[in-house]
Amino acid sequence: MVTYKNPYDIDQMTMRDYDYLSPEQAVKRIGINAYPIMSFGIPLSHPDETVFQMETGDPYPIKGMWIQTTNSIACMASEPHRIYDIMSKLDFVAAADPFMTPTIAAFADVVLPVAMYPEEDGLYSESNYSLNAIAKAAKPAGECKSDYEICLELGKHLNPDAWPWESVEDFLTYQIEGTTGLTFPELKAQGGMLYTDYEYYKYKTGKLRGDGEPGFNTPSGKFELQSIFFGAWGYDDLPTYKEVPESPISTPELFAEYPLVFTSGARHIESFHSEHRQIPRLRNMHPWPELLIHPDDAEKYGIVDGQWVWIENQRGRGRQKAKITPTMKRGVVNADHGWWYPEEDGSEPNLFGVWKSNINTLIKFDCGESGMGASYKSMLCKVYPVKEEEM
Amino acid sequence: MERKGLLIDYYYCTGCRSCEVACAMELGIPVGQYGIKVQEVGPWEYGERGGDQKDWQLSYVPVPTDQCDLCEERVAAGKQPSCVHNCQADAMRYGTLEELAEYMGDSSHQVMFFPK
Repeated sequence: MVTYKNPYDIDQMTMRDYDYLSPEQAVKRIGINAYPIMSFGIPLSHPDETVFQMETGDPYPIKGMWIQTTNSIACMASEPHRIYDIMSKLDFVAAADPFMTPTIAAFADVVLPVAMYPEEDGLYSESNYSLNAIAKAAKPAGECKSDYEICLELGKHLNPDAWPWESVEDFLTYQIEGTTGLTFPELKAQGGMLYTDYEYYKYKTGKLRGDGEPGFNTPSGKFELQSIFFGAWGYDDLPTYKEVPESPISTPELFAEYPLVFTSGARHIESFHSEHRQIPRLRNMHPWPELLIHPDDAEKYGIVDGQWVWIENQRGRGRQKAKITPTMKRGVVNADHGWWYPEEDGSEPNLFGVWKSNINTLIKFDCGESGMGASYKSMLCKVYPVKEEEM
Repeated sequence: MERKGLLIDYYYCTGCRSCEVACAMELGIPVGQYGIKVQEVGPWEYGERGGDQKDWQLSYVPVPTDQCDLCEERVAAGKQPSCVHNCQADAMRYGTLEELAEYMGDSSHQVMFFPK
């Protein structure tokens, strides 16, 4: 494990959250005992455990939810039908997003419209050495407020001590002044972009570590192939391989029925996750969800290029358009994720067609030993043509 | 007036299609039409290099259409054409044949267009 230091460190807010939990609250943090990594360095509720607790009410019920800029049932929820049933039981849901989404349409009692990039001041930092100001160039449309404004106003209401800033500008200045010596208006005035000089061999000069000692920012100071942290937390401390839960090797009986390995999550240039399907110029570049399949597999399963096909396993199915390409490995298919249809009816039960092409329907809701992620990259499926009457 | 054109170093074109969007936004071209359009040539496998290595054909080449005016307005204002300005790989140049010829032969996979 090698950790590095972001020179502009605008993520510092996350760690401050610890300071505002009382000891009584801290022990009630969801999932704190379920996975060792939750006790160290991640001041959040554990996502999967939170869903389980919503389902069972144990050890205490969860009655409401705040959804900000996330489209769970369209994008990242595995077993989305199950998540839908669980979230439908909540007493109160409020959501903030620039667009109406299937998730908002399904659950939200209150919706706050969010301003777009040109309508807000903000910061953007890739963790690799650049810091950019997002500079407001237009007034937000209608009643929209930026995510920063919404968080600041809500934060002041919920816990004024944790949100001492008078304005978004003050907050942005707070985030950058320690590492840059600039206020947010000064950052904007000098062009809105900072880019540090690259400096090599920092491990020799002590610039990688908080204590100024030479070495990497790890407990041993060495470049750790064997992770001291992981070992201490009870995980395997070496990057060993473990076969995935469902595969030709781990579940041969399933493989007999579902003879293709499928992977998902690949990005496309014109959309990101579940975003951008409602922007005509971008949608035109990639109008439908695509399943990539090798020509030999397509022939074997009676599929022609551009045909709508079902991708199915024991958990469910979704339909996408086959794209036959020799770049796919034989026996493996690649499915688009995040698809919904903003042009369709958004009311129940259609919800912008969110169930039609939803590849996460096939994915098991199980984050494994680590407590992170799910097998989005490796499940089994079969693929067959959609009948005309099923469209 | 000496004709101007585009030199495209398509060895570096990743097919990101930024030029398509930048052009359409600049000239107000309707959705589904283009002032420049990225063409995909491939993919197909055509040879062995030994071991697991194969030779693949896969190129992306942006091709200007008849709706391209080489960004007359931008150029008159002293700017680069929108596609050139927005090329994420810095793989496009604008100029006269003579100016562009200086870059030709610097590398393989180059093409020159004189759309107007």
